[in-house]
Amino acid sequence: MKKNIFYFLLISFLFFSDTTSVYAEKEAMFYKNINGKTIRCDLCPHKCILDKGETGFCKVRLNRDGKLYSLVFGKPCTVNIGPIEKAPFYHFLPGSKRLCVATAGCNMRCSFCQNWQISQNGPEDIRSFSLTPEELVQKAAQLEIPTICYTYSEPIVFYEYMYESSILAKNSGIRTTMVSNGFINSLPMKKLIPYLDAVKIDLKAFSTKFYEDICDAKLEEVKNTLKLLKENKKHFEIVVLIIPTLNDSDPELNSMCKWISVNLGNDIPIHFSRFVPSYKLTSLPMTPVKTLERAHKIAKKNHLKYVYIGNVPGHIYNSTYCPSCGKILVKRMQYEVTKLNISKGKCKFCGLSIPGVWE
Amino acid sequence: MQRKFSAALFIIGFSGMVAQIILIRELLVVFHGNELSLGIIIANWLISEASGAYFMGGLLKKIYKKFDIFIILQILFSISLLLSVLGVRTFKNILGFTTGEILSPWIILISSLFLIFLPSFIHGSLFSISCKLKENNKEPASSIGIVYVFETLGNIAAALCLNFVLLPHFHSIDIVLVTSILITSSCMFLIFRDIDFRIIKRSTKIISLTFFITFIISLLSPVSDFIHKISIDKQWQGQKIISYKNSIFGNIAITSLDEQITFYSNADPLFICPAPDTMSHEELAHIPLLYHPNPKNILVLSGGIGGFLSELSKYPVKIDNAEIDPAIIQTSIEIDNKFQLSPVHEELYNKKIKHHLIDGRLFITKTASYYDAIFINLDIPTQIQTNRLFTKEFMKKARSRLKNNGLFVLTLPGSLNYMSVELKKLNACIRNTLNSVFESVIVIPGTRNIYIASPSNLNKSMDILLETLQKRNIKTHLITPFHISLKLDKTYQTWFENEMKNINVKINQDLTPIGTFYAQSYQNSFFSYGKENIFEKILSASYSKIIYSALLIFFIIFLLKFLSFNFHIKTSLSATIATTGFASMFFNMSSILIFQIYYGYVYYFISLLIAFFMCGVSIGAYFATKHIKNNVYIKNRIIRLQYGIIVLIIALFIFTLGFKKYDNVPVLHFLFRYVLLALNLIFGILQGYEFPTICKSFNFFTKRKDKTAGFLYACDLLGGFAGGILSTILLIPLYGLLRSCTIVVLIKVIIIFLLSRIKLDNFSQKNV
Repeated sequence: MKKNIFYFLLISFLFFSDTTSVYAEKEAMFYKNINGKTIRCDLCPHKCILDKGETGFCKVRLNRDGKLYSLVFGKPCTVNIGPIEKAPFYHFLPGSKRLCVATAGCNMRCSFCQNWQISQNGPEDIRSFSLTPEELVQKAAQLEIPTICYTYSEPIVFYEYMYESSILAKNSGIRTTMVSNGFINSLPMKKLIPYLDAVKIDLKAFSTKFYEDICDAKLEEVKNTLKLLKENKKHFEIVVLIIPTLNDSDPELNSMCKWISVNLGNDIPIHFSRFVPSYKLTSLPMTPVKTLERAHKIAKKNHLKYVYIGNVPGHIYNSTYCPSCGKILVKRMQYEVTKLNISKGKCKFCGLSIPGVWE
Repeated sequence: MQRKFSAALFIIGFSGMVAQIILIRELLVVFHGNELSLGIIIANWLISEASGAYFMGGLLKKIYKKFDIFIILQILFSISLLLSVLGVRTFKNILGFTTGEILSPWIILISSLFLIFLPSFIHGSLFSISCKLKENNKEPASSIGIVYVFETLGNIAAALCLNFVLLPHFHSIDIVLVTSILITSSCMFLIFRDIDFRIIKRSTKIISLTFFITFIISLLSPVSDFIHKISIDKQWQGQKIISYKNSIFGNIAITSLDEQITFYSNADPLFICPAPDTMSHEELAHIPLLYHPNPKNILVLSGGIGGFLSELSKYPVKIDNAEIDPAIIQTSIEIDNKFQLSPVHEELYNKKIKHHLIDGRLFITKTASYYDAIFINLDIPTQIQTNRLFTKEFMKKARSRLKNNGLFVLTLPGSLNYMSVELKKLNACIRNTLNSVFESVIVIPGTRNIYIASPSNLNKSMDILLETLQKRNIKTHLITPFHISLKLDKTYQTWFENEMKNINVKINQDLTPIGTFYAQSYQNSFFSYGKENIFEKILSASYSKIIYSALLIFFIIFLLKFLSFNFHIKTSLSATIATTGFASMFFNMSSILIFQIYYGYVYYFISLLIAFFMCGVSIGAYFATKHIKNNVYIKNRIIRLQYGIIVLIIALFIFTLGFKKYDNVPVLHFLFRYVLLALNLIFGILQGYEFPTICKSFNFFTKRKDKTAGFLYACDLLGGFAGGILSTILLIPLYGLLRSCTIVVLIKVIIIFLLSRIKLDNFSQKNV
């Protein structure tokens, strides 16, 4: 029982005495000096052109005297521990813990962001603390947490911090995962992929208009990232937050599922999450469960094998079923794993190989 | 003819009030029923009307066909009112705001100004042109007074009519059309029935007749309902409207989408069915009850229907449920008769649950029962209406109805990864308030912080809590030992305590509803953050700074006087009008907020309050017009009026303070609303008396008498604009009623000083 309680007491916060707002500056990767003064940041598709003293759309990359600096390197604003299912990763070490880390900033402006307090602000607006990549990896090792998860805000904007710490983590036998919107250029993504063990991409919708109007981003670039992950054989899962009236139409869901099936394969886990009113989008109701079930049906019609419904505690599609024998592989109660019928990556009942990272 | 013209003035007043009330109600739905937006909307109406009056006042000399313009302006007013209502319902879609997105205070300020500008500007212009037309053989100041009287009578009639006839039975488009028919019919009477007006252009006659017929056809045919339906559908894009009605507390809309029914109150989703927000309901119902050994009697004061009551009814308990807006229960019953949706149907007819069609706060004052747990299932006290369940006074009442080991439970927004300054302050404010009333307060951090307070100790080990959970064996989707261990992990609470360290904020009280201020500051941080947040900037404007500034002004005036600087008399008179506008708006807003705190249904009360206030204005203006001679400067009488205003502000404070102490006495509870109405009536009399008095005095000193009405009306409304904005954003929430009253009294003392020091020099003071 004690062991169980310890196992279930997943959350513990780390406290750091240094809570100054003085932020670190590290020369950024992926930028081009255009004329000695002006810089073009090549990290994400925004490709911000920055004059001296300007920060990019993400608020965390600054042109200082013709050089681009990351203002959040080694300066997370939140570090805590939680269940991996909360990401959600359903095909990655079920029931394990993750050390979550985030800094300020984001390269999208979603009006429904759940972490808007950190993602929509620059490092000067919020309290952060010092934690070098080495210290981050050490913490994970000390606490015996198998995975570092770059999450909450947008990990792409603290690329250098994520990149360096994931290399160190790899060497220390700690796994790394990224929870991202996927709005990144190909070159930085290619460079990062070898050091990540799994990626979760938030596919906000499947319409250019939605991306442009609501997120200030472009769908095509996110699709490219997904294709890149597939080409590099990296484990990744897709989460679609279904927002009533905004991205829940049958044609949109159908074209999304079709595209995933054709371009990424039908083994990719896809999660349809229930929207909860948050940030600026508080006047819309929670997503009808019927809509989520409709999305599930559409995905299944398009031959996607691992389709989940999230944020609906107790829903049958919160668990993993074997596409071959139909038996339950991972039974979940929200973030709790109550049954695990996968052994060495295979279904215990029929032996079908299940995609994911299981050990 | 004069009678018919007076009737036209009456209808102008009537339509002005209808426009104000309809647009306020429509805008409050778009802006989510916030009293802050109420202040902004009223202020915007006043400033637009002031510009209209001033603009037309300047143009009058250049206009020859005044009567044509008078008629055309009225028709334009009708059209613009209809367009405004449609604009309010559709502008978010037209301007590309995301469906369901809340708007920043700046957008509210600008968009409401833009949306109501046309009708209020035209209405202001009508005042100036009416004064000129009414002048006839009379002195300008008398005509101003007469126009003021008839317009005000129209205001009163409209307020009563809206309350008892129009709002309960008709939708906004119908009401606008009825008003437009009244306006055009009064124009028709003026045009076609009087020989004096043969000079009116033929085109004006044709236009009037065309619109008169159009409005009648639109009202009698399905056109009106069609416009209403189309515009509502646009407003709730993508969802099917099942029911749309106005309660005395605000707007209630019910929509359906993919077999899900959503209940909205002032455009905020209240609850959904048949698949409710299981996670929130289960956490709020079952986790706090682990801290009680054996709950038997439970009281839910808001957010009960829609899943939460179902969770509570899993225990062997008796539940009393009173919503903050009783219309929610009534509407739920009506909808349930059609759809019988779970869990609402079970909650309405569960024998364990007793529904009370009474405001929650009032229920706790009246009930004689004692409870094991009292739940407030509200998210955030951004409105005075909701904040009244988060104040110290209310908590004291709740505590008095709790048994010894009873629990008082409420929720606030939270976060498990980062708490902004605004979020910390909001939480600290309510936590300090709970601490000031209860012996023991614990918080369960989450994206929704759950606060549990009790008169007895709440310290329980995790083992005991888990044991209680297992013993009770309540069937849930989420509440398992795993989840409880996760939620109640000590490290979360330590983290929360660390985050809340060194946050010094005041406690939330009825008459200093600072919780609303912090809640609005938190919501405003969606749009601007930390030091950029206007609310954080306002916080730095300390009360002492304001008082010192007022004293400094006082000192400067005194010094200038000492140096024999002669103040411009017209400036002093304009300042008197403007500060009375300020004080009257402060008085109105204070009355509205006080009413909201103690009764909760201000949307119903607004029109009555305005009717009483306007009635006072009308009486005052009538006596001033009748008894004061033209072109005289009546210094002492104006000064006495200022004293009267000061006395009334003090009286409002004293009555409120007295009522606060004895609000559980039913007779006083019944009577206090009439005291508020009476005080507003008297304030109206003073303001109504002051306006023509100052107009007459002003004319004594000016050569451009035709400009007086427009100019002073603009001053009055500008003062009102400032009063509306400052009272709701800054004065009352931040400084409370006492300090705010002191500031307004101080302003009026400065005015008295200014007026008393005026030397008439070349003018002889007559009739003083």
